[in-house]
Amino acid sequence: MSAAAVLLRAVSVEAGKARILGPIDLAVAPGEHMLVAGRSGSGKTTLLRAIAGLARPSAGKIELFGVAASEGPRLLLAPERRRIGFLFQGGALWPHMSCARTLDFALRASGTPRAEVARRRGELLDWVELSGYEERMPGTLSGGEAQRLALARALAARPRLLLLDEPLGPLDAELRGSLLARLGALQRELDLTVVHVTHDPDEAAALASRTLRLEAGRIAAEPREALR
Amino acid sequence: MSRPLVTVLAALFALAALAPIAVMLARIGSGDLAGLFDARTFTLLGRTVVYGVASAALALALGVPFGFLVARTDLPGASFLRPLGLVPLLLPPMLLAMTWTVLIDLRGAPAAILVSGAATFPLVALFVARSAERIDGRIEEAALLAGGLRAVLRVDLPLVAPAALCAACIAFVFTVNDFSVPDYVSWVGPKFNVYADEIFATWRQHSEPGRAVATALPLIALTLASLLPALALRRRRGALAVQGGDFRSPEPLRLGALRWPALGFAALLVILAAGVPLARLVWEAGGGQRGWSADGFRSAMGRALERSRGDLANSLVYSALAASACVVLGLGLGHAIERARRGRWLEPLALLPIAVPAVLFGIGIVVCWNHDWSARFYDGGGLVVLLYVGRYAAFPILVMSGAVAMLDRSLEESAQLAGVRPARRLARIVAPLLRPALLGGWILVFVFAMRELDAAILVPAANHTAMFRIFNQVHFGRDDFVAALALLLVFLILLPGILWSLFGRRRLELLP
Amino acid sequence: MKFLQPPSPSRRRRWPRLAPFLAILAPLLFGACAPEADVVLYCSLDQVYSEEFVRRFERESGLKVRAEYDVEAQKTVGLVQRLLEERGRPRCDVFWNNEVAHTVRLADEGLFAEYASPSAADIPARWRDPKNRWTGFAARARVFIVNTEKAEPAQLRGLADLADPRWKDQACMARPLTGTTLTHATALYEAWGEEQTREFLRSVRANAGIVQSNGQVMRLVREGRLAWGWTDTDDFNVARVQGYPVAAVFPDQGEGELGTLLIPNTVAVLAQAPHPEAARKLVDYILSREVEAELARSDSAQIPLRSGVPPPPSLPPVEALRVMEVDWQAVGRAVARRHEELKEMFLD
Repeated sequence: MSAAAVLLRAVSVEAGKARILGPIDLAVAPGEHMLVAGRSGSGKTTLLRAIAGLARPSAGKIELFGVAASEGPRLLLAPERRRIGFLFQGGALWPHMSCARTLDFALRASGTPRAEVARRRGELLDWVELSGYEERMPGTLSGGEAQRLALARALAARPRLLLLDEPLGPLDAELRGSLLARLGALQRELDLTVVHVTHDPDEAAALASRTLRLEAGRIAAEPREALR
Repeated sequence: MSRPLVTVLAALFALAALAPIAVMLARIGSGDLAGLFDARTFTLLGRTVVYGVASAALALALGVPFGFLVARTDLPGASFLRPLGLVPLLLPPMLLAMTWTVLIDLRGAPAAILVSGAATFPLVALFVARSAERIDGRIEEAALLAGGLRAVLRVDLPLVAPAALCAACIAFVFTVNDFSVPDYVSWVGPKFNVYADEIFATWRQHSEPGRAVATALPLIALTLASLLPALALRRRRGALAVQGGDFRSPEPLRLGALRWPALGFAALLVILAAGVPLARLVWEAGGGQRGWSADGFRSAMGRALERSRGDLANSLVYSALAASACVVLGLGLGHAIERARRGRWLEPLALLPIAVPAVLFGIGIVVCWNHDWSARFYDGGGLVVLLYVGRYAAFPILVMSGAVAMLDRSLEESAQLAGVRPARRLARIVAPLLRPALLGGWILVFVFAMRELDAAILVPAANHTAMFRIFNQVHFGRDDFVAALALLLVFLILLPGILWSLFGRRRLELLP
Repeated sequence: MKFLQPPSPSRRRRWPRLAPFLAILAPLLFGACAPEADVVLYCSLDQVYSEEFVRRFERESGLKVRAEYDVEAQKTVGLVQRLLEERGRPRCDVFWNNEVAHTVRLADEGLFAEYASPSAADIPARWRDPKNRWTGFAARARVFIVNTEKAEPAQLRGLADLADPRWKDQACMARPLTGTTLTHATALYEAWGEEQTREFLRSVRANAGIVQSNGQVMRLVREGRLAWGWTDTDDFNVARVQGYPVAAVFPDQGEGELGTLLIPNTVAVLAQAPHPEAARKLVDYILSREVEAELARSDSAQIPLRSGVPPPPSLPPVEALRVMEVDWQAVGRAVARRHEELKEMFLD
């Protein structure tokens, strides 16, 4: 049996003296699409940040695909080497870079040879239906377009693991459907592991292989088993 | 943040800024501290604190309304008054004192407070203006609907207060480290002595080198004690906008009937604090008391330019190089203060060079660099640049740490997860987004380096700078020449700022 | 989805990107170093007066001089500090000081080499160090500068006038913590003794304006904001040349009175001068009659100490003055102690 894509053992995260997450044990299998639900302040985003290495756990062990990523507050694998795609709440697009430059920058950073950058950028833009938006600046994009660009950027580094933080938040119903369809395609074709944080588990239930509910930083229940 | 990069930058900062201070502090022997505090020095220190607090309060009283008016309201001519309001910061406070005491018969402590307050109000205005522009427009609109202009001001004031108080603390530091103004305004009647006098006087005597350093300690402690809370205040930004986040720029506020009285206040302040001293320089350059003439003025300016062209060029080159180096240090270390673990420890260290007296810093540079292996460097312009960097890198470091704190963290994190290395993140994500702050930091260093004299006097090549040339001529009594050169220097200092405000698209970000 | 396939391997090259920066930085660093000079002069006499001599010496000797100056705001202390701090690796050959007290102190600390310049043979012995470590020349006198529209010069006789209630708040002096005023106060202690001097200074402090510097004294008086003040002849002469209504009064010139204090320029060769040969040449030049005559003619109106060199046009020759007798060694040694006492008196 292959190692879990994400494995957390007794991980907790503290801010100052307050514990905002954990202790938590969790295993996500490769190819799984796990939904993490919970109210705001329940530690959902912190969980994603701990997996990505952006938040330092105060205790516990994190493994990614069988490799130790952090142990207590020590980062054994730097965030930039974890091959994680992260879709931030609000997008976190670089306001000074056009769509094309955003993707080029991310592609170059993940080691794409210069000669291949233009082609891969084209493919990514094509896939998120932003062809022709190359010179547009993020400030001029609509909510849905921005979210799609952020998704393309997250995929540029060829992640093994995709972390989604409220990806449907700013979108209206129609756009939600199209983004969900896209995420579903990703998962089907690539067997990408996804951890998907949402305050409304119903919206993405169709995609989820498993749903986890967080309450006050602890796992409260796994109300629904695989609905494939 | 990359550890090797921070380490290299921190080492450079330590070399330029901390090493000279360290070698001086090492001179203090146990005996030097004894007798530091007698009744006399306590009196001096107490008076210095009162003087500093009073003039910082005045700077607040003038700077908060001025900064807010020029930045956020439909005040007529605001865009013109705003850069002019900076001029007092570029002039030696002594010039203000000399000018005002001619106009009004004010002496002693009130005069010193008035002059120092007027000389430092631009700092407060600058900080207030910047933070007032970062208030989210929606917050103001909500207040406007609830209770008009009065309600808006009630909402805005607490939001700009931390920045204003931070600037007031820096104004305090500038004031308590200067003795020329209190001294000048009390030439008749009871002498208004301050602690900076004591330090200056102790340096005259060379028999006890440790004691001279020890004498500076109370003022260093006082300076740090006032700067550290200022920085803590700065972190309580409240509802100020985060860069890269969701932000709506506020609209200019309509003053209505208050427009003209407000203009009167702002214009009067600019005229008194900037216009009159500059006019005095023009008057003196043209002959002054012996009869002013346009010809005299022209020839004085021509002579000043001709005789000191080389010195002016040196000043420009040294200051520009130092400013550029400081900006690199500021970007790396300012970022580390906010983002690196334990980065906060850098902050008090970064402040130290601002807190130590200039002469102490200058001697420290001599001690550090006068060796056989560094002999050629010691005599050259490189040492001047190093001195400027050491003394003023603190400004961009603090400006940048403030700006980084306002930058949405996820912009960097998304680059990090995309695999972008730390130095590249700094160069490609942080630096472009904080370009106004970088430029602001550059200009601050440039301005202070151009007018640096007290520490630079100890460095050989600083002999060939414009500031040195000016003060070299003061004793000679050629006031027309000195005034003309001072005008040239003010113009050169203002030049980058003027060019930016003419052609720059965005506002300078000088706010730490 | 092709875009998720791994890329073909690429090698990152870092150094080529740094190369342009290094290419810019390297010449900057080398350019930052100064060219070598044949002789290094530290000069605290105002640059405007002294740099012409430097140029002339360079022309005549063919040697390249590196001259570094002081500014008035630092009261000579910039260069003195540097001489002291640089003693481990002296880089100065010749020190030309515009006063004498610091010179005596530096000589006592062993910073100067003995050198009896042939040019100085006709300078009276009282202006030379007995051990030939320094030589005095071209002096400034301590005088009263009087605004003739505010006061009648004939009304002033001597230092006692500073404490005279008749002149309450109309006269001024520099705070005696720096420069020639400190030297003068120290010399008074030597001449009058503790009690009398202390009493005198206390009453002056209560009666007269106390300002930062002699230059300040001159400015206040020439503009008529005060009637008269205690300063140096060079400050007086600058105001006079600029056309202000000022006169100089030499204090205490009567029979049996103290006389005025003359403060000579001093010049010395550093003990470990990097260029001793050239240093001596430069000193010979500085101590020449021509330089003393030129300094007398200049706006700083320095009074020649040799007989036969013409005095400044506005001032009497040294022979016509009653000059205060001073033991410079004693004054130089006492300055530090007196400074401490004066600080308590004038800084509170």
